[in-house]
Amino acid sequence: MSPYGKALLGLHSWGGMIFSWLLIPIFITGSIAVFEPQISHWMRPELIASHNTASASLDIAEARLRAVAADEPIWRIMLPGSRRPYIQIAWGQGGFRMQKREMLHAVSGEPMAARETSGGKFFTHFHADLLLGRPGRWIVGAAGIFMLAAIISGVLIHHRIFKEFFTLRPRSGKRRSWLDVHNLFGVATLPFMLMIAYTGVVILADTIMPAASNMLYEGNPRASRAELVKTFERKPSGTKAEALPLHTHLARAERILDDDDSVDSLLVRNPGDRKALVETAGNVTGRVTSIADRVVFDAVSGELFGRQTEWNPMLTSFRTLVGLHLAYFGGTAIQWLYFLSGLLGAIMMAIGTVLLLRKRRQRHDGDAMQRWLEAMGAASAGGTLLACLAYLWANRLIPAAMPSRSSLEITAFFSMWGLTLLHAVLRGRKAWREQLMAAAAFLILLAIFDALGGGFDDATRGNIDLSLLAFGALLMVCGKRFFRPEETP
Amino acid sequence: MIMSFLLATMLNTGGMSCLALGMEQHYRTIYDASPGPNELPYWRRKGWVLLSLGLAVCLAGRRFAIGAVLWTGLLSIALISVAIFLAAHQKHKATRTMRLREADSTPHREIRPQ
Repeated sequence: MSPYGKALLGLHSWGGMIFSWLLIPIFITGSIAVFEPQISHWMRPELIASHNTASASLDIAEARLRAVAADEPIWRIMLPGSRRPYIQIAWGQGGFRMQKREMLHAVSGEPMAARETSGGKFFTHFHADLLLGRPGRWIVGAAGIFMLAAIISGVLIHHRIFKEFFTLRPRSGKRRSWLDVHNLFGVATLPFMLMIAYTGVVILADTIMPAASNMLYEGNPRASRAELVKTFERKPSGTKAEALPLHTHLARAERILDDDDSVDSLLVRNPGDRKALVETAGNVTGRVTSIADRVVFDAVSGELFGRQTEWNPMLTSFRTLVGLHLAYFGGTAIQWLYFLSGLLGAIMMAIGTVLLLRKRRQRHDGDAMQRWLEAMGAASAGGTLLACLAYLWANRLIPAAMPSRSSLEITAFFSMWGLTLLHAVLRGRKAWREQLMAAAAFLILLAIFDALGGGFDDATRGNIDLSLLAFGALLMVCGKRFFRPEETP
Repeated sequence: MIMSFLLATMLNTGGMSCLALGMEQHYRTIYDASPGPNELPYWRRKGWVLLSLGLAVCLAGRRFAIGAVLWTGLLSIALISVAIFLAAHQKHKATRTMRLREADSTPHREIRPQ
């Protein structure tokens, strides 16, 4: 092998293994995060999904806001849709996080009480910054940049992949078979992997390379947004006036918005005032570009006050790359394809680790370093799965009324992760099989447990239970078939 | 939308199967024979036609970008499905040959009347 090829192989195998300890958990949580709305719904079984029309939902929201927030400067209404199956309202001063929020029952219009949990958002946050904030984004960004290098070096090293397209040889020696799966999954998900790594790095571009924000906006990355996104405001007059019912603006807004977009949310400024404004924002689920078009009306006369449906081309291209990463578009089919591609990518990386460790074992079997490397590998794959399951189990087992239960759920995740690492250090490479089989058992038991607790009363919850069951069964078959006790990887 | 999704899945999987038949090693797995002079290019052409039809179905009634993402995703799943099918088929063939050989070697010489 040429020195150049050797260097590439070293980069791909060693670099790949070390970064896979991070990238596999990022991929597993990222794949789960694709289903964030559904998981959030599953994790708050107290909430009942709304099947109302937009107009009926809006009437309920408006009635409630008039009752509890008549004198507040800002009302927000989020209509039920595929990414949030409830009527949600918020009011008060400041951004959405500062405001008071309620979710309303679709029939009675009363607020629904739900257990305190981070829900599916936890997976999204862990995927994006490992819950470490800015330093976490730096770490994830570095892993993303390395991943691009690993993909390119991988294509160069495994140059036979295109000659051996479709090739899986399960019976021709263990190493050959593992390599075939690594190559097959690598080739099959190559477009997805390139796209997801690149767009992921682009999302973090301002964190990693803040030069532009520093030069042009004195280090405030939000300033560029303010320049491109219009704000529609005017001073209140101080005199009261009867506003039109909010649903009268819906049809007009939808005529102005794009064909595929319906109204997703509304923002009312100075409700009750003669100069009140109603701002409607379109859905982003019908388009790759993740920008919501906005149309603004005078709340009293109903006249068009302003709109923003045309966007700066730079912003459009940036938000298209962001949208490609987030996968809010395209419905369930796209969600499943992203989920499967992400998991296949994680499996591909885990097998890469197995391949390197099998080779290294021939010379270093039994030394402490080998033991730690194997343990890190097992804990990053099976361990992450178990940690995610611990999080979901904690959601069901911690009493709904318990104070600060949301942070307890997250504690369950990290405690389980720590335990799997300890287990992997103690058990050596048997840990691979044991952790995967344990994850399979937890998946199947969770599905049964939730189904007995009324999981099938709700369509989304029932679908998740079925998926948990299916994945548990699949994992069990794979664990039995490919990780036999006598021939651990 | 569901029909269009199923149709696109079938076209992409069919296209990938034809592309596999257009490669000599996989052709042998399926047909147990050497391909004729024009057979491999024939299957490859057919494969590309089916994949293009799959793309057309994905794009019809969807925004271009969404259709393209859907098609690419279905391509990945089709590739893996075809590879798993080929591996399973090969294994099935191997066990069948072994059984036939066992059946061949022992009993019927003794049963045959002298």
